[in-house]
Amino acid sequence: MTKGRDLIRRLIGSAGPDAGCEGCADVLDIYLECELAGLASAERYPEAAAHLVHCPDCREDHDALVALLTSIDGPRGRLHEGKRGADTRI
Amino acid sequence: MLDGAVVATWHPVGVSSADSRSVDPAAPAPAAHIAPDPDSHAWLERIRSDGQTRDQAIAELHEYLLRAARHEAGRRRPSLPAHVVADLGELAEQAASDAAIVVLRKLDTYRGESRFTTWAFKFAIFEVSAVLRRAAWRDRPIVLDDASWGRMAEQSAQPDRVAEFREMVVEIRRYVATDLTPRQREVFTAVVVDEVPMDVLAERLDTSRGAIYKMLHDARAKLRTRFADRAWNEPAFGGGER
Repeated sequence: MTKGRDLIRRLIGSAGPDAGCEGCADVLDIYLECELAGLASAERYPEAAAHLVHCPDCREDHDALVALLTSIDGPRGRLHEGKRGADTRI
Repeated sequence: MLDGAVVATWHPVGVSSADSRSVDPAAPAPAAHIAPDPDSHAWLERIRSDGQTRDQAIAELHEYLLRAARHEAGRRRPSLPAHVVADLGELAEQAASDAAIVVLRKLDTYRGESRFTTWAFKFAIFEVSAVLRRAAWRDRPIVLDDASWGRMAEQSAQPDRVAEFREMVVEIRRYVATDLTPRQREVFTAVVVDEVPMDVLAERLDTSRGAIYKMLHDARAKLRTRFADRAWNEPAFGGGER
């Protein structure tokens, strides 16, 4: 997405169905597993995909969950083995 | 789903923001439950059992959620003010405990369409994000800054299109002043122009994030009607695309 498109979407959004914060939150886990598996998450959940474009807070939550899940090497990854990931220093 | 008209839900007292995004009572019914993967099934069985097995499962769940909250807190650390960084451990603990309560309360809504841990992590992220946004804005006034409008065009447009985008921003700003209701104008300016997190604005306005998003959605729809025939609102330009 270009910076110009970003600005237009930030200002006036776009027409079409939008899942809203709750609708997006409901499917975010499924959406992300599809996305990280290389499946067409935006085609399966177009309303959630639209919402993620238009809602800065939900997009931030999406990015946070992506960062968390990609820090785990699959279902037997570091978090699941009880070891702290490299980025968890607080 | 939002599609023109949206019904706002006000933030219920005593419910955290991550659990108060409701905007649409007409949303489709949840899909039927499907058989979860073996690991997820084991989680459900242990949490739904009794006695020591359940207690141990809940303790493990809390530990997972705490790691997820700490991971996100660590990721955000560079962008957080010093007073929040100082409290990061405590804030992550608080978020993990709140997330555990939400997970247990919503357990029957888990449909097995994702791994149980992914589903549970989602609530840890929602909670810690909301907690950190609020902490970062604690005692910070929301100032609607006129200069933000000007910076937006400069920062967002490619060098060869700055003039075009500056003109667009000026025009949109005019319609924000004339077409939006005072509350829509306040929400639009805070969220879109001054980049105030919706969780923070919702708390200040004593409403929910979902209600804030609805106001923003309606405001953008009003503004779009002004630009229906503009090239930059067409799909080829990106404005009409999703």
